[in-house]
Amino acid sequence: MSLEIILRLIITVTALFLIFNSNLEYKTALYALSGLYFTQFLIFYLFEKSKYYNYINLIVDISFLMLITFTTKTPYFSLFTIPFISNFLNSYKSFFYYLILSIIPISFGFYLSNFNEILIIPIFFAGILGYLKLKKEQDKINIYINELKNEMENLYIKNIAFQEKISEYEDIAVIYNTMNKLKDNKITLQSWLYGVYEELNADGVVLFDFKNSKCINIGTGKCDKEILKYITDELDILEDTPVNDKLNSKKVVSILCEFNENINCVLLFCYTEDLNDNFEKFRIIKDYLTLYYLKWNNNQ
Amino acid sequence: MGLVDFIEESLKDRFPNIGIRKEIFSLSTFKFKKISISNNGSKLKILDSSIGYPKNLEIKDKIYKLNSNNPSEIFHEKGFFEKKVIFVKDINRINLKYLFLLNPYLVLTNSKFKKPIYSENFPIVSIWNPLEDETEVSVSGKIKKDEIKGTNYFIDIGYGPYYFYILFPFDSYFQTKDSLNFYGTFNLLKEILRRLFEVRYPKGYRIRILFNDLSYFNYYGLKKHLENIQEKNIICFLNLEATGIGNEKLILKNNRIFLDRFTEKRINKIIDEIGIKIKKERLKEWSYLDEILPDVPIIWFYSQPNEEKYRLKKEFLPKKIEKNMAYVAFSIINNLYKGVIWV
Repeated sequence: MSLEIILRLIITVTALFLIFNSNLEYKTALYALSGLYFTQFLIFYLFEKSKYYNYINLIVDISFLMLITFTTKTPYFSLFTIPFISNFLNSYKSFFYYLILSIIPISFGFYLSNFNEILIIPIFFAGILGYLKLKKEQDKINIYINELKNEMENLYIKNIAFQEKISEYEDIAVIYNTMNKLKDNKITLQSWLYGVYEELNADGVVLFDFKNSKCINIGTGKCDKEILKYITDELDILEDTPVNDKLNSKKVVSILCEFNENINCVLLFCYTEDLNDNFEKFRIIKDYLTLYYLKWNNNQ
Repeated sequence: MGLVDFIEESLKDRFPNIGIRKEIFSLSTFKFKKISISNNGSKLKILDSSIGYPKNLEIKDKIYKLNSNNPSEIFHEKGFFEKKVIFVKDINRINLKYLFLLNPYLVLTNSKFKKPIYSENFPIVSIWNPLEDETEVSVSGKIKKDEIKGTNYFIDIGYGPYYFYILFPFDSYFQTKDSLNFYGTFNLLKEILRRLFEVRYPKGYRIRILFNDLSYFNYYGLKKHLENIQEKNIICFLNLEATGIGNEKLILKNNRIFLDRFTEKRINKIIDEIGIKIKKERLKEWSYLDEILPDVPIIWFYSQPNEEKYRLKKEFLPKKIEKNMAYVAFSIINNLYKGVIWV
């Protein structure tokens, strides 16, 4: 149950008790008014999120307090304005609005008692001071939390920057791992080619294997022997050559494995646009592929 | 307050005169009511299981440990794991695509799921105890059918018979409003909407912002919505899943290539003119987005690598990441098809 409802309930029950103990003629009217005050609060509670909810509610509460203090002649009832301050501590404007409005029932109660019950005024200010002290503590905690939040955000940015770096190195490590498995003949050329096609983000891969007189292609790569005429360098990026037209890709990376003037294989990677700084990986692939052909095909 | 109500209220607070339309649907899917796995008579503790597998489980077999998540080695052992029980140490480090290649009967793993896994071909169960290669296990699992409700929202900007979709996949069954990837992407989308309303939006075709629900269930909400739209009227999708939380990459392909030549060229040109550097990569995790309308290009700035995106709360997210991404997305929406005449 909301604390606001409990507060209003306490005020209403105290008012009913005071009306019961007084010697008034129009008691039933006052009972009805107290019930009306509580029900109107419950109805207004539905509009809790509106901008002016607190301001309007304060006016209604203070008028009810003044009514009960006046009719039952109990000046201390006006001290019930103190708990209402908790909704008005967010800005200076709302705090002064509350201060100005709540001085009214306090001074009215003081006047009603023929200026005798002077205690009302210091109790009111002491009550407000308690809330202000609490607000100050709250502000200190909020500042600390904001500093921590700034640190959290900075650490998050650093964290993902490090993860990016790690993933770049991880990609190269995976290439080394795959090439070692191929060199030690633990996987076939077909499996190796599939792995390399995935890891290097290529659209297609073609491998012309001269030792075994085979051609393997994956993706958009095609086994077209006429391409071989245009491949001369060991490691090259081709653009706007007939190779690009035949393979229908903007950039083609060509790797030539050659040892002692024997060409062992030709490997082509097809890309549409960006190579994304993969050049180191191509160099690694070229070196290990040459080793693979040396190791396994010279033994046969 | 549920996630669906939160989205609607938050949009109405921020844009008071916006016209939001609603679609409600329901999905019947399968979940495991009870699984028991025992190894030599002692029961193993079960942490989590995948959703969507439609048959009861009953097998007593040896398990085979998958030692590496290298695609070459997995391809090499392709035929061997058919219809067997596989044990993977960390399911979050291996792309589901490679597991689909192997086509096992059941996958056991030690790690908790980072995000809910949907798999119709084989179930994935995560257990507490690590297992050695070739230990005998006996598995029995019973499934139950579940009816889940979902809600789609969509907002139209502009007029025309052609649609430029901005997708915001969320999941009211699994996600909460405080999680990092929901909160960050939602804020980014609100910022893009504000710029579209206050600055300018492209003319000649309609921009439809679709909040599709139940996206962890194989993008069910999106598929349900697209049943009423003709494919030839859709220009492209701009997917905002896990965008706006840092380390964004433009995704080129998963199993299929997401961007056609024309779109990719124009996006590169726009990004060069803006001056923000964005790398292009293939998707390292798995997504079912391939199956949706293979002829329509999908523009997706996905946050990878980002291990924390399903784990952290929204307080970690700095504001400037969202601003960068909003600038990129806004420029792409306005300039991508500039000068193209739609007949």
